[in-house]
Amino acid sequence: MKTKFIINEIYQKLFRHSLQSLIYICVFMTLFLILGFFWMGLSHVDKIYLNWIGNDHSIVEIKKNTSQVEVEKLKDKLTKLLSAKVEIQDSKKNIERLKEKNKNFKILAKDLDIDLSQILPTTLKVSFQSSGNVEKELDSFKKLKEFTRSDARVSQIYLPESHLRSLSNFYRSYKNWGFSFLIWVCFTVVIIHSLLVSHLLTLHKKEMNIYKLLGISPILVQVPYLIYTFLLSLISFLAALSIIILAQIYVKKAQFSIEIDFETKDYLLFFILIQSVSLIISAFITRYYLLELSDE
Amino acid sequence: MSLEVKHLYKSFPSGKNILNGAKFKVEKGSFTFIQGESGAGKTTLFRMLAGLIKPSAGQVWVGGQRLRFDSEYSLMKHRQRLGLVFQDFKLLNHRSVLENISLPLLNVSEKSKLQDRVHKMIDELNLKDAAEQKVSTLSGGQMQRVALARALIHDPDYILADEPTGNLDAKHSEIVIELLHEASQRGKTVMVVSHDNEMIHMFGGEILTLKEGQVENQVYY
Ligand SMILES: Nc1ncnc2c1ncn2[C@@H]1O[C@H](COP(=O)(O)OP(=O)(O)OP(=O)(O)O)[C@@H](O)[C@H]1O
Ligand SMILES: [Mg+2]
Repeated sequence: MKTKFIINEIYQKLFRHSLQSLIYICVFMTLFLILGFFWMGLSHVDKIYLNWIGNDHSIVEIKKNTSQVEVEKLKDKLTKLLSAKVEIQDSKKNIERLKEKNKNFKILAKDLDIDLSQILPTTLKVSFQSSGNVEKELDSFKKLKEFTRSDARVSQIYLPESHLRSLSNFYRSYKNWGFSFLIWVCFTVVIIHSLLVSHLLTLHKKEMNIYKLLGISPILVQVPYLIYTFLLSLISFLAALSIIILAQIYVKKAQFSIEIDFETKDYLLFFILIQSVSLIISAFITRYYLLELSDE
Repeated sequence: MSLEVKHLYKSFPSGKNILNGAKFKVEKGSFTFIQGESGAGKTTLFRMLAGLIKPSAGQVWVGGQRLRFDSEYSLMKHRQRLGLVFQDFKLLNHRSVLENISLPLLNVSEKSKLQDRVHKMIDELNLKDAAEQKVSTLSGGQMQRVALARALIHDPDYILADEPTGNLDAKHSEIVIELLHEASQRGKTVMVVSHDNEMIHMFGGEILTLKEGQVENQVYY
């Protein structure tokens, strides 16, 4: 009879008290998460990345008196070094293209009597193939920079600066993103979990009083409550976990080249964090607010 | 199985002296009514008899033994022999009538005999139709009857009922007082807060009147 009572208590708590609360939880959780996604500017990250993919070439400027053969050699060397498409842009062709594009420039050059070949020497156009991996691409840029510094034939390199900037922005936001996301999930789960626990604690306290009046052993009431609270914690944790896993899948599908990677010990820590913080919060809520509402 | 109160004092932090050296003794099998103005301390007295609050001074003796207010365990044991009907019922609102009534049976080791009592009690108190209903959906009178059923179900030695007929019509009041009276005739010690003088005269018993923190008189009918 006592075991039956305990099982019944847990059932009652799970399905009678909490069904409504669980529905609230789901609604709130969704709202919070949507808010969170906006807050973290997921769409922003998306745009930066796409923008960067669309404009991914750098210009390597070659010193004026470099022979055609040397240029070819350089091109081969670069192709080997980087997983990039390298195109030779002849000085004359560069000048023609520029004149075509910009009439003022032509006039200006004429007026000032500038040797355009000085300004527009032969260049190599380096287009990176997007590997979908931000770290790799940043690495390519680094290699390109080092190469141009060490090779005597190269006079200068023009990295697509704006793109670099957005790339590093993106890189930074990517680093933050996983973290913000985790914080946000924690926050959501903790808030909702504490509300639920304190709500139940109050109900439980009221019930405890009644059981006490009837001389029913407190253990008989505490055991199902503890089991119930533990189950609830487990549910909260699983909810948080499923959100993280869903996010991982989403991030993969959207090809953000982001990884939300956690180890088992992170999850454990995560679990303990949720538990302890929400316990403290719910204890406070119960102590200072809800119990006022219940009698004695 | 007598109940005795010796020089009982109770004051609350708010400064009121509710009980002021009250004393009385009711014997096993007695049927006692408690009267007194609203705020006289009837409920407070019951709560002390049930070991729910500590007296400021004085003693409560139960069955010839002094009630130990400092031991949670002995208070728990004491309450298991008590049937309490509260003025505000103190039922589990989100549980069914059946569940509420069966609660005290958790303390009883020999259940089979008492399990039948649940249905008998539900029948007697006209709660059959509401047996599966949640308490929160019941009327005040129905709740009061559930509270009484819960107080009697485990056949306790002492029954303390705080205005058990306050929400009931004449017919149901009679059923309730009849049940309580019956219990006293089976040797249980029954105390009832009631202002229903008609009922008191019908069944007879003693009347204790609380006034200015003391038991003013003990009248026998
Ligand atoms: N916990 C408490 N703290 C402060 N005062 C209290 C407390 N409990 C009861 N009182 C006071 O004690 C007095 C007696 O209360 P009690 O409930 O015993 O009256 P009663 O005789 O049962 O009245 P009624 O017939 O209206 O039920 C009241 O004035 C009440 O305000
Ligand atoms: Mg009262």
